[in-house]
Amino acid sequence: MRSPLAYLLLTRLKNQVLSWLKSPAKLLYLLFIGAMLTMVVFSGRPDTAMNPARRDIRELTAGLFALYLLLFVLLARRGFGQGASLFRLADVNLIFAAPFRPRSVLFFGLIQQMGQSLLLGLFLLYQFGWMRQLYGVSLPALLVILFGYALTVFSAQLTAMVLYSLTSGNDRIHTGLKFAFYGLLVGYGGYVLIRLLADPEHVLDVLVTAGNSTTTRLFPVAGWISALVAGFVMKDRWLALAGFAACLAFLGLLVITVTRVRQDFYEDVLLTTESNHNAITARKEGRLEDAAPRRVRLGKVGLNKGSGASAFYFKHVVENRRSRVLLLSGQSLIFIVMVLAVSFFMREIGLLGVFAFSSYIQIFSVSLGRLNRELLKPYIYLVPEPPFAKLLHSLRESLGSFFIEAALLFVPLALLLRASPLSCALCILARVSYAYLFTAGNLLTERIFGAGTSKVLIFFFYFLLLTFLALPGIVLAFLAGTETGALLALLGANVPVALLVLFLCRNILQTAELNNR
Amino acid sequence: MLHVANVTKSYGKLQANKNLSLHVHPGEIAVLLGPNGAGKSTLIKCVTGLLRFTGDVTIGGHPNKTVEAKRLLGYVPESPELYDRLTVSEHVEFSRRAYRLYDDGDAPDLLARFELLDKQKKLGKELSKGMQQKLSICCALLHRPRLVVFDEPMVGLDPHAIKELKRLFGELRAAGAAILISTHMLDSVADLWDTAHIMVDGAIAASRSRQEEAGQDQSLEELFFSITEDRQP
Repeated sequence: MRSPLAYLLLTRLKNQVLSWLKSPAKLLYLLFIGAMLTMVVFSGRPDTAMNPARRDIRELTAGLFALYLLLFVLLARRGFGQGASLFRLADVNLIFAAPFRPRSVLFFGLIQQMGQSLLLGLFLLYQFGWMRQLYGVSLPALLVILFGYALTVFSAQLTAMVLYSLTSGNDRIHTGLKFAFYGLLVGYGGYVLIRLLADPEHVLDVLVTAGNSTTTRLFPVAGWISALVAGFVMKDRWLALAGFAACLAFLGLLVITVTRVRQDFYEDVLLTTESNHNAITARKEGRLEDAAPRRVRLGKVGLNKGSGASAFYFKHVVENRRSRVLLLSGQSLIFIVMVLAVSFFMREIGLLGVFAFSSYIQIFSVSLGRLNRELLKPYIYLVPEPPFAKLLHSLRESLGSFFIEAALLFVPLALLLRASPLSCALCILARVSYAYLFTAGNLLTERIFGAGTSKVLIFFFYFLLLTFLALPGIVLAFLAGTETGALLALLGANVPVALLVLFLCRNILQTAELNNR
Repeated sequence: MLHVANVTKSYGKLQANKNLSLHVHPGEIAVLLGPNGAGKSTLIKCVTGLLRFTGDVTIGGHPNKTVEAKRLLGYVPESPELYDRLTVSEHVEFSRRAYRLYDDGDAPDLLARFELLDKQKKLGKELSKGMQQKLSICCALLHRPRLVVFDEPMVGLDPHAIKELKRLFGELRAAGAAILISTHMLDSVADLWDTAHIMVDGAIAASRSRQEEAGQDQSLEELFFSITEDRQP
């Protein structure tokens, strides 16, 4: 008889595939994603002889090391707090209590986690276009970069689990390992800083050289994974093999630690699995900022202002204050850093090109904000105020963050690209106009679909709708000819379109359904 | 106070409520009884304006989605829907401000009765399920509604809170409020109801008033089981 755990893994997979086939919307979406991927990968394949890579490939490998390191540190450090889990709540309830050997359960969790880690990195495939154009990256090399990403997530999760198992309940080991973990990071930071101080004129060159140095290649986990990837990308077989061997040895050591040193690991993952489950539920309900299971600083208590519909706005102010990192949400800050980092490498395409890229990324970062969450609770429907007033006051909280986000993005970009203050100001305004255009698109999607329709179909429609709403601005910008003219054209088109959509959706709260069935 | 006429609610091909009609008068406690999946919560959500439906629902003579109707309504949902990042006192303050109350309403009394006075600085997500339910009740009753709709209100409450809630039902009725309670636990409302509606498969299978029951051989519980068990396959 087949192992029940293998049966569970395969049945889950089979049911997942069947659910795609049974839902036309999901299938359509998958086909769309597949078609997009195929287009990105195969369209306009450059003749490498005609279009040689424009930049040094070592920039990419150094950047990948930074990405893997950041990811590894962020995930693995959870081992000093709540720990990490390879399991879902259903696993805890059904498998942990069943008569399986803990070692079998651990391997079940490991295989499950491997699949998830790979899925998490799929977004990298969409980066093929610029990687190929700038660095001449081939498709197999991209797949290895994706593998490196998945390996980083997987190793970090397992490291966090082992760190938690070893340190929970033992302060001495906890302090010692934490010291070693952060000590290594500080040491590496010091190494890069010394090299930077030695040659402050050539920051990029120094960072690239440091990111490809032997010290970096020897740096635990992220260094080994980047060695594996860099070896493949730069066709250095021995480097790739050495990186791979180091990763395998490390993972083997982690598995031995769990299975030999701490066989009873159930307790260690219980709390984290529950926290993860709550966080996933919160994300599904659109409570992104509230999903992180962290301590909340209460600060000043009380709304202190607001009456009728405006009470929603002042409530949002309090909620935002307790959810944000500095002035923006953690998610917004990540998007800003990401756009700034990519723009640094793409600076040749100029301010407008960077603006277009940042607007594309903005599609993923703009949502209805707190209104999304309000739609899942009964109060916004129950409060006896006109629906348009409730709508406007629920959207009000976003304005400040849209401006701050735009300024945090375009002031440094303008300095980097040596753009004029006027262009910088116009970029900020145009970005805010896009934010409201996308918000309007969100509202219209909600107005048309409301509750009860496939989320995949909604997502698909949402993208089509945003393209349609943004089209007038894009066409006018192309016709404008100059940079200033294009930005003014975007502003001139986006603002009326957003206002029109908002007006058309004014009664959304009168007709919407509580969407939490 | 509450008039429900020919309400039908469909999800695709599934009809969760089929042409339902009922009334709840001021000073009356009406209960919606029925097994799981009978359509009680769907009807409650139609009544409170949270779902779209066909038919008519009026509260105090106003269509249920109007501002005038909402002013008269208090709703306690099946699972407490609180804000994770607001404290207990801020939930109360928000309700007070949203309903434009210029005093504390019944807040101090309600918080004391449901033992929440010492938890005012706790965040919504830090409360236990039972405490969240108590706060949800306080927020719904704060503005002294004339129609109060409760969806499975006793689930998760401790014995003290259940006792207090039952006492509150009596007080609301005495003050002339109309009350609609949905539950599948007959015992919890046995000594409270004035009118009972038994729902099965999205329709009202039987309705009975307290006066009618006095002259019947069959108790409400017996009637309930005779209806619901007859329909089981």
